[in-house]
Amino acid sequence: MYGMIHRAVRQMVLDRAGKLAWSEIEAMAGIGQSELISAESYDDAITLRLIAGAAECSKVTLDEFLLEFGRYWIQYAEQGSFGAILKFTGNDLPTFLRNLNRLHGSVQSVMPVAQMPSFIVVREEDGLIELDYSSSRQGMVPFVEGLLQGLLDRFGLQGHVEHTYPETVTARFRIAFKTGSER
Amino acid sequence: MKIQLSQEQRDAIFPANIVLDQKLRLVAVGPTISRRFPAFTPGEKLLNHFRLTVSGQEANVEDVAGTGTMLRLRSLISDEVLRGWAIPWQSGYLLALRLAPLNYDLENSGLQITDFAADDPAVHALLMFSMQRALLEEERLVALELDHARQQSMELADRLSRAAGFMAHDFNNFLSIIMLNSERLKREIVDQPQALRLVDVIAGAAARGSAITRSLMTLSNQRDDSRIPVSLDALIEENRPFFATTVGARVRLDLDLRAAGAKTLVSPVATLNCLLNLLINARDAMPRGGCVKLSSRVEERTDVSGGCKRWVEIEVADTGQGMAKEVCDRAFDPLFSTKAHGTGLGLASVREFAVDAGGETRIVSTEGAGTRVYLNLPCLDHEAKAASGGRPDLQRSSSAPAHLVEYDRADVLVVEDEAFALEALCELLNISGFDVTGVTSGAAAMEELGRKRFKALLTDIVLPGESGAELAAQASRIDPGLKVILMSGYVPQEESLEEDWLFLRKPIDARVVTEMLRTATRA
Repeated sequence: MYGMIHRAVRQMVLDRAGKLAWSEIEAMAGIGQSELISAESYDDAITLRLIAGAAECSKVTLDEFLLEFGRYWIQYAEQGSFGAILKFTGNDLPTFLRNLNRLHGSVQSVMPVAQMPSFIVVREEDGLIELDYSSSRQGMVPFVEGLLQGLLDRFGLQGHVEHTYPETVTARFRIAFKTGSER
Repeated sequence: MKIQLSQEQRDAIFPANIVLDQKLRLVAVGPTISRRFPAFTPGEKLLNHFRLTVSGQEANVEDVAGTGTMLRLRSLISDEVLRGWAIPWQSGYLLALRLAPLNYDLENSGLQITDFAADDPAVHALLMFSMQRALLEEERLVALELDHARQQSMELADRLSRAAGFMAHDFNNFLSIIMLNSERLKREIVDQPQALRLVDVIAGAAARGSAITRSLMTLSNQRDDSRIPVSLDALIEENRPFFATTVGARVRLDLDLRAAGAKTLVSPVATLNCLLNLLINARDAMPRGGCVKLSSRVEERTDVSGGCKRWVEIEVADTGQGMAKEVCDRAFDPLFSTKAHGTGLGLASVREFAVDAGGETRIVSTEGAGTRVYLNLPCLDHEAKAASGGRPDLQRSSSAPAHLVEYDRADVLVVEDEAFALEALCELLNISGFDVTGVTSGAAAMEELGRKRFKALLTDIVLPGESGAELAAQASRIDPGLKVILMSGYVPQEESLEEDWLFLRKPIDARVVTEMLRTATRA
């Protein structure tokens, strides 16, 4: 994965657990400053070691950490260098999700070795979206679920995210939320 | 062919569409226009809000409608441009337009993806541009972090360097005591060969300790990066004990030096650092032990520019596990490391050192068969004299006399805060024929200087309270003819030393100090 993910993990740990915790994770994962370059692509094994270290430090399971990290990522990206891109991609949840693939397509052009997931809105009703997620990576469903929860937060929506595992895609997410008029 | 489009379809294909009546008054707009040009309301005239051009020339909607000519609309109110075609539409015109961003910076643009049609290539361009901009910003942050980390490590190195310097000073004091007292003891037991041999063992160990301390002192002097002609063979030989300590007990260090006499223009500190990096890498490549061979040779060849023809080649070869090709290819890359907690700066700094010195590096590694790193540095054609600009270091340059002789008695004031070292030094100088007065502080020395005239002042630099250099300055003002010899294992950076003062490096060799005093007091 790209170093920007590593940087976000670091920031999350620094925000929530402090410098000492991050130093322990660095030692545990065997990484240092050289693994924190945003535009550098690293072996997924390094990312996994890092996330496993952060989960251990937070005393949660890997899936629990990934979920929380997904949620954090949206906030991190919005407040950092990627904020303008996020804003452009959509100012409401349905628009944002409909345009995620366009966003990823452009990211792919800039980061050619990135393995981008695919997101397709397969059902859209008032207060309900079903989203098909496909990825060549395994084990990232909790992260995506966290991302979707982060998006609910970002757009000020109350709702919940569930997922199923249809055969045709990696996972199908069902996002139910209350629209402005219902809240 | 006539095409019918619903408003929804129209808005999807051309979100920035404008429907006008025959008098070019606004009838309806697509979502992008209503969002970005809220002042353009139904009934308003198009030309009150936009300037129309075709290929840079003023144009009329009526003239270009249905001709397939590309129309450009520049807002008269905001800095925005629309491009598209005018089509006869119902009883008026449809301007099928798209936003044409004047710059691709999304920051503060207020642009949204819904301002563009699904197939509009501008979206891809905007996202790509912004992504690149975001990554540049990220890299700027990384660079700032690295710079901050570098500054922190430099500050740490500086603190360590100072601490190492002061520790070396103390260590050298102890070595001085051992060496001077060994010399005293030898005079007491001239008829006991077995005991004499033991004293030699003690003195030899102190001398090795002194060599290691000197290497550490050189390394601790990080600020001294002046380049001088250096014999790499001599430098390596001089630091052999330190290198042996660095590679550790499990790794054998073999030297094969064949570049005697060849000199290169380098900073000794940087060279030592560079060799140290290579040796540490070699050591780390052999966790279960092995052998590292440090060799040198002179090679004759031309570089690409046809310049330097003689090179000193240093080779550091280990018997470790070697590297895979993809690792080897990146070995000199900054921040690349396969070691846990590796900074990726070791080999990168080796390359930087070599390039700075006009040389080059290369690495040859075979998995399972060890690694060889080559460092090629240009030879100086003519043996230039060392333009050190530093302090005279007579201990290195003076040759010690084979035996001690009686000299004219001369009064010498010795200032040394280590009582045992002072005692030994005074006794040895007395035996050698000097009238010696020994004191342990600058204040006591000033008292003596007020009472009596001395030919020479031999003082430690680092003293409690007033430093030896400050004392020497005061003493020289009282008696300008006084010869000053400063001695120390460490010269703090802030000390200012006069040109005509002599300097004696600790630990002190009895014969060298005697010779130096003899020369100074005779002059």
